[in-house]
Amino acid sequence: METERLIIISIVSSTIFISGLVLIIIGLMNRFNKNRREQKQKFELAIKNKELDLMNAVVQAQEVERTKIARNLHDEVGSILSMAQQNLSVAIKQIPEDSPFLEDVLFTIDVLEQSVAKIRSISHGMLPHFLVKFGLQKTLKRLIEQTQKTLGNTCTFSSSIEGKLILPQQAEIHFYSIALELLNNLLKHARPQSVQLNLDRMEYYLLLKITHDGVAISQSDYEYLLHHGDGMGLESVSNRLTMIEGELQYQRHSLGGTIELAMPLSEYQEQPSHE
Amino acid sequence: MQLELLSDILGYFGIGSACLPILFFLKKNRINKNLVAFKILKIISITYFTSNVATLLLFLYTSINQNFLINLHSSLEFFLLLFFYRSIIKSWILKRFFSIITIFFGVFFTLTFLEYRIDENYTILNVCQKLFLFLFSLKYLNIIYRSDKYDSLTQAPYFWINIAVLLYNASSLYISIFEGFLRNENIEVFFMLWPILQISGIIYYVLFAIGLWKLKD
Repeated sequence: METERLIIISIVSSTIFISGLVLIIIGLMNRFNKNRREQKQKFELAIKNKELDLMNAVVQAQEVERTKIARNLHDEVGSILSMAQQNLSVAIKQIPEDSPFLEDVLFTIDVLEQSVAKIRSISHGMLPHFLVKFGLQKTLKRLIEQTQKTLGNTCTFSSSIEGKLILPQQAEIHFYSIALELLNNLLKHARPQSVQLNLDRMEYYLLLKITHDGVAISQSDYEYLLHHGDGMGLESVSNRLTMIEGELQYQRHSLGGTIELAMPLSEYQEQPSHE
Repeated sequence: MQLELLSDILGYFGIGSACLPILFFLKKNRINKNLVAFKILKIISITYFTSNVATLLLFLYTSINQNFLINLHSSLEFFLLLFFYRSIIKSWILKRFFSIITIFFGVFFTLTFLEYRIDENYTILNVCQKLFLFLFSLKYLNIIYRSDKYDSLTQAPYFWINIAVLLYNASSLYISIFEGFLRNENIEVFFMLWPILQISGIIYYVLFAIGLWKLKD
C-alpha cells in the first residue's frame, strides 16, 4: 500500500514537474515573441512617423519657397512688366501713325500683355490664393472652367456639398495639388473629349471623382508607373497622398475611365453657403 | 516484467536517439567549423555515440556492471558542456566562474573516484553536476531572453541545445534527488521512475540533434 502510494506520488510529481517546466519554457517563448513583435511594430511606427514628418517638412519648405517665388513674380516682375506696358502705351501716342516703328511697338505691348497674364497665371498656380480665400469647391470649379476655356473640352464640375468646406489648410492644399496633377496628367496623356469632376462627402471621407472618356489606365498601370516611371508628378502625388492619408483608385471602363481621390475627414466642417 | 520490457525498449530507443546528433555532422553546412562551441558539440556528439554503443555492447555480450561507464559518461559530458557554456557566454566574470567550477569538479570527481569504487553510484556528484548544468542552461536562457539580437528565441544559435540541457537536467535532477532515498528505501518505486528518466534522455538527444540541425541551417 505504502509502495503504491509512493509510486503514484513519484510519477505524478515527476510528470507535473517536467510538464510545468515545458509549459514555462513555451510561455517564455510566447512572451518573448510577443514582446519582440510589439517592439518591432513600435519601431516601424516610429520610423514611419519620422519619414512622414520629414516628408511634411520637405513639402512645407517647398510650399514656402513656391509662395515666395509666386509673390516675387506677381508683385515684382509682374509690376515691372505692367509698368513697362503702361509706359509704352503712353509712349505710343507720341509715335506718328506712319512711323515704321509703330507696328513693332504695338507687337511689344502685346507681348508684354501676354507676359503679364502668363506671370499672373503662373503665380496664381503656385500660390493658391483663390483656394485659401474661396475654398476647395470654388477653386476646383474655377479650374474646370479655365480648362474648358483653354482646351475647348467639355468639362463640368458638380458637388453635393452645401456651403464652404472647412479643412486644415495643408490638407486642402495637398488635396487640390493632387487634383491639379491628376487633371494635368489626364489632359496630357488620356486626351479626353469630356471630363466631369464630382466632389462629394462620403461618411467620413471627402471624395473627388474624375470621370472621362479618354484613354484610361487601371490601378495596376498606375502602380507600375508610380514605381517604374521616371516622372516626378506621380511621386509628388504619392507623397501628398501619404500626408493626407488619402487613397487613389484608378478604374478603366469600356469607354473611358474614372479616378477616385479620397481623403479622410477628421476635422471636417461645413459652413453655410453665402451665395 | 512489463516494466522491465518497457525499460528495455526505452533503452534501445535511447541508444538509437543518441546516434542522431552524430548523423547531422554529415550534413553540409555553411557555419565556421573553427568555432570553439561547434568543435565542443562535435566532441559531445561523438561521446554520446561511443558511450551508448559501448553500453549496448556491455549489456548484450557481458554481465559487467555498466555503472563505471555511466559515471565516466556523465562526468565527461559535464566537463564538455561546461566548456561549451564557457565558449558561448561572453561575460568574463562567468568565464572565471566556469574555470573555478572546472577545477572544483575536477577535485570533486577525483576524491569521489578515490573514495568509492568506479562501478558504484556517484549520487552526490551526479546531483551537483546536474544542478550546475541546470543553472548554466537557465543563465544562458536568461541571456538570450534579454538579448535584443533575435526576433524569436528559436533564432538564437544554441537555443535548442540549451533547452535540451535544461529539460534533461531539470528532470533528471528531480529524479536524482529521490534516487538516493528510493534506492535504499523502496527499489520498486525507483524502477518505476527509471522509464521517465529514459524518456527525458530520448527527448534530450532529439532536442540536441534538432539544435545541431538548426545550427547548420
